[in-house]
Amino acid sequence: MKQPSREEIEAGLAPLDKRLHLINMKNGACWNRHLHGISPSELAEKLLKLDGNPVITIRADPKVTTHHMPELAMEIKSPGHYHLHIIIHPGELHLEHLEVAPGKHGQGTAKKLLAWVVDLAAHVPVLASEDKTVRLTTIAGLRNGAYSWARFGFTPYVDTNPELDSWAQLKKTIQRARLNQDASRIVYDVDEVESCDFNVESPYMKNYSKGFQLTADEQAVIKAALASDDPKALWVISDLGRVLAQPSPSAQPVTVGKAILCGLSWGGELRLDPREAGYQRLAAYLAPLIAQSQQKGNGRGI
Amino acid sequence: MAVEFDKADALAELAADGEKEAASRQSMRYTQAWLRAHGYGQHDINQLLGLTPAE
Repeated sequence: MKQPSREEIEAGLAPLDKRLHLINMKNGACWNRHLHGISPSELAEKLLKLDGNPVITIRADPKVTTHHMPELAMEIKSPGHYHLHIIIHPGELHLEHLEVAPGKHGQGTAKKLLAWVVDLAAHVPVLASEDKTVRLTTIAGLRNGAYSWARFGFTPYVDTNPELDSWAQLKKTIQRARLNQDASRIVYDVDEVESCDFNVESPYMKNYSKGFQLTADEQAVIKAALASDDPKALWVISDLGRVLAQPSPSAQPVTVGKAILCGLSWGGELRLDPREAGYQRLAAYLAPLIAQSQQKGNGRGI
Repeated sequence: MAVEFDKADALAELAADGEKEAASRQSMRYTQAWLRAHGYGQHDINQLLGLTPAE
């Protein structure tokens, strides 16, 4: 795609009017550096599909050096409804923030936002790596994030550098902070739990702080998963579905998997490649929204 | 990631969606295969994953 002129950028995004704030983005070279392959009018069309008439800020990083990876931040806020913040690097889309206002739960908003992100990723070629796939990355943490992102197909980073090996660190944390000595019970380190934000806002953590007995099969499965070098073994832990507690009639039940992972934190990724198990796991939650993206994605990654 | 950022609410909503049950069964294909490879039969798998026999 040729480099868009300033006039073409302004005209293409004009339908968003005053809801759109561009920072360092009205330069054609800058546009192509971050969004090469998608025209201003195509981007406007995608942004207009978002519910709630959100205010959108797109900020491009003007610094480009040999040692600096340029990034583009897109922050989308619909006051009282949702807040989505993504950061685009070459070959990677980082989910920085995805939040739906409590009063708007149950309307499928988060599901639509995640599907929208997947669709955007499919249409921005600069995101694709050499093998034409896109990586979604996130920090899974706070409250149920460490549980939920595993359920949706993300896996912790694996690295030869121990400091960057999120899977190895998470396994140690589970053993230290969530299991008793013989790994027969889920327990919580009182000091650690009390210092966590999630504890304050999750009543069941206070009510059930004595922990939970695991069955013999659950103990064996957890032991085998924690012995695995494959980060997908985290999914096995997160999927353990015996209900341990029901905090309230309307709340999601506390399952074995959630009780082990809630409140922990890990860095992870998901490759948008239909051949990969993580993508298939995510697609199961986002179908049929993600199927529509596949059809429109021109075969680029998804 | 700033502390104020919290994706959990949004994710809880995803899990609460009406298609949850079907999605869960589909999404746990890897786990079911993993458990079978570790010698578990379908009855034990149902118990471990909280699935009813019909699922």
